[in-house]
This record gives sequence, structure tokens and C-alpha cells, in this order.
Amino acid sequence: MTGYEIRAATEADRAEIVALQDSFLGAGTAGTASYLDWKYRANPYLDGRYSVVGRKDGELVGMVGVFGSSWRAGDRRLVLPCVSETVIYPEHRGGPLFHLMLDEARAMLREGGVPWLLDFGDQGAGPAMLLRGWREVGPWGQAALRRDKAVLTDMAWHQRPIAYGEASGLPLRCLPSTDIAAMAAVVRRLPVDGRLRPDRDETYFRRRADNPLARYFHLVAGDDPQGYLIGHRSAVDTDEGDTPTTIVDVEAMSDEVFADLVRTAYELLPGRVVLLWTRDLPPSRRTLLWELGAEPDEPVGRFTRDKFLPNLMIRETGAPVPRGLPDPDRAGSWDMRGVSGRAWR
Amino acid sequence: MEAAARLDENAVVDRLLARLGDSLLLDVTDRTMDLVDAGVINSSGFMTLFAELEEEFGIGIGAADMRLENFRTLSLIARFVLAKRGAA
Repeated sequence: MTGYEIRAATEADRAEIVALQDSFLGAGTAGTASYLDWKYRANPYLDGRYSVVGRKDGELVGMVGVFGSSWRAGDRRLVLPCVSETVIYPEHRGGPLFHLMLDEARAMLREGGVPWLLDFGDQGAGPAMLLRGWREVGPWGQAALRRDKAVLTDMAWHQRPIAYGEASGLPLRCLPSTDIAAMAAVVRRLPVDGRLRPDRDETYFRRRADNPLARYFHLVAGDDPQGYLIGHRSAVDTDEGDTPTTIVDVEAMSDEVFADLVRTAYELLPGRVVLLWTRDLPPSRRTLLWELGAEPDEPVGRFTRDKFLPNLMIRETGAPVPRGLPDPDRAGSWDMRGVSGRAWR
Repeated sequence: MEAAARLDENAVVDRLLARLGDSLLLDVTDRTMDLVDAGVINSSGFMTLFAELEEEFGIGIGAADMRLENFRTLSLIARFVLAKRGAA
């Protein structure tokens, strides 16, 4: 007997969940509550019904959040749940609580007929999860642009003058918000294959833009958009803070447009380090990143080193797996463009 | 290299306890104690253990090594270390 009560999170847990999560996020009660509402309540794919809390002696002491994300394989759409907001109060770490909560989430998903559970984070717990039957699809590499000093925001992003790409000649506009229609239109023009890919439609872009704890930096190339780039920084960190700035999504109809978008982003995005996943970039675009001063950061096959790299872990729940989908255990089955980080930033 | 050649299971356990006996392995009573069932090594503890093993014994630990049989007891960990060093 562990003494923990493990069960689905309910509305009655809300105040304690906000307090628990705020101990990790540091966004304040209102900010944390707003973030959780966005992540779970307002999630257009799946509400927080599979999130789990752990209690001891009546007190809420831990949580595993499970949020929904929408994917496509060919023309098929599927909602996949992802682990997030895994927080345990320090005095209850080092015991069985984490795995008890994960096991309960899996059991509920199995009951609900959902075949898989994903986790894009929790790198520190990765080995323990693998030992308990999780499998990893990654890790994979990223490009890191490291600056001597942080670039600071000196004016509102959207007030920057229009620039013209030196490779494509197209106008490059810094937008005040997501141009949902334009970005979804660019994605629709991209070639698709049978891999599992995020369903980047209007709903997706609208949802991402609503994240209340994110600062986004939108860049669009061309009047009839030929590409876009979305940079992200945590809204609870300053430009000089330790968290990296991440290019969470970039699509371009040509290498020239890609070059112009990334070059401009590398120049303007705030922060000291700018990251971009490289696993789904063609060689020509990777080469461009190195030419622009970014350094490759590739897996070496050691947990202690690779825990800093992006990864995806997956576990079957035991529910029947739909037929005809790509094998999720194969890294080549996934197209991760537009998915950058555990919180779907 | 001479020291490496003399490394055996006892020596690995001794060195491991010397490094972690005051922290991660504080409550270990003997080398056959089940570290996982006893809760000695928890979710984040594995990463600590791996970092120490890599540094102390010059091995690399990755996904292919993730079998509980490798890490359940000090004796099994020692055998794992010796096997990794032998395979290197």
C-alpha cells in the first residue's frame, strides 16, 4: 500500500491543481489558471478528462496532465493524448507516485478506447519510463544559434519595418498575431506523405496563438504568403533569461524563402539562444542553418547527454490500435514539423 | 589500464558505494537488495546513477541498455558495468 489516492482530476481539484502547477510555472495564480484553462478546458481536441491527480492524507500532492493533440496520417485524422504538467511536490518525489499516476492515465485511456499515450518531455524520467515499457521515438537533433549577448526587444515586433529577403526578394512582415488563414494555406500547399503529422489547420494555429503563457513572434514571407515562421519565448521569462527562444514552426515553398525567414529570425528574435529542430529539414536547409552560424546538436546515444534534446516517448494503453496507421515505434513514421516541445508551445 | 584490468564485481560495488553511498544509495543494506522495489532508485534517480556510472567507469548508457535486470541490485549493476567495459 502506497497510501496515495490516485484518480482522475475533477473540477473540485481545480484550486489545488493551480497551486501545484504555479509552484512549477511561476506565472501567478491567475496566469497559471488561464494557462491550464487554455491547455485543457479550451482544448478543441480533448478536454482534461484523462488527467490524473495524486492525493495523500487528503492533500493534492501530484498531477499528470493529459492534453489532446490532433494528427493526420494521409487523409486520416486522429487525436493523440500527450502527457504534460507532470508536477509532484518535493516531499513526495522519489517514490512511486509518478508511475502510479501514469499507470492510472493509461488505464483510463484504455477504458476510453485510446490506444497510445505520448510524452514529449520528462527527459529526466526517461530511463525509468523506458524500464517500465515506454519506448522512445527520438531523441533527435536541433540547431542552436548561440549569441554572445541576448538580443533584447527594442520595439514592438509588428512595428518593425518590412524587410525584403535577400534570397527571394519577397517582403518579410513581422505580424502582431498569427495570420491563421495564411499560415494554414501555406501548410495546405506542402507535399504530404503517409507519416503521422500535426494537423496544422486553422484550428491548430488559432489554438497555439491563444497560449497565454507564450510570447510569439510571427513572420510571413510574401503578399501571397510563400512561407511563415513562428518564434516562441516563455511569457514568464525576460529576453535575458535562461530559457531559449524556439522557432516552433517554419514552412517555406522554397529554400530561398526558408533562408530569408530564418536569417531574419536569427537577427531579430530576442534571447541568447535560438533553437530549431532539424529532424525534418532537408539537407539543403540544414546546411543553410550552419552557414547562418547555428551549431548542430545531435544525439550521441547517452541519456546523460541526450536528455537535453527533443524526444518523443510513446506507450500503448492496451486499447485496440487502428489498422492502417504507420508504425509509431519507427522514427520515420513521424513528421514533427510544427511540434516543438512538451507544451505544444 | 592496469587498474581497469583488475576491476571485478566487488571493486565496482565498492567504487559505486564510495561515490553514492552518502546520497542515492544511502539506504542500501547489501548488494542483493532490490533497489527498484525498495524505492532506492526512483524516476530521476536513474539519471543520477547513469551519470555516475559513466563518469566513474568510462561507459556510455543508452536506450539499448534499458532492462531492469541491469539495474535491480548492486551486483547486477556491477555485472552490467563489467560487461559494458568488456564490450568497449
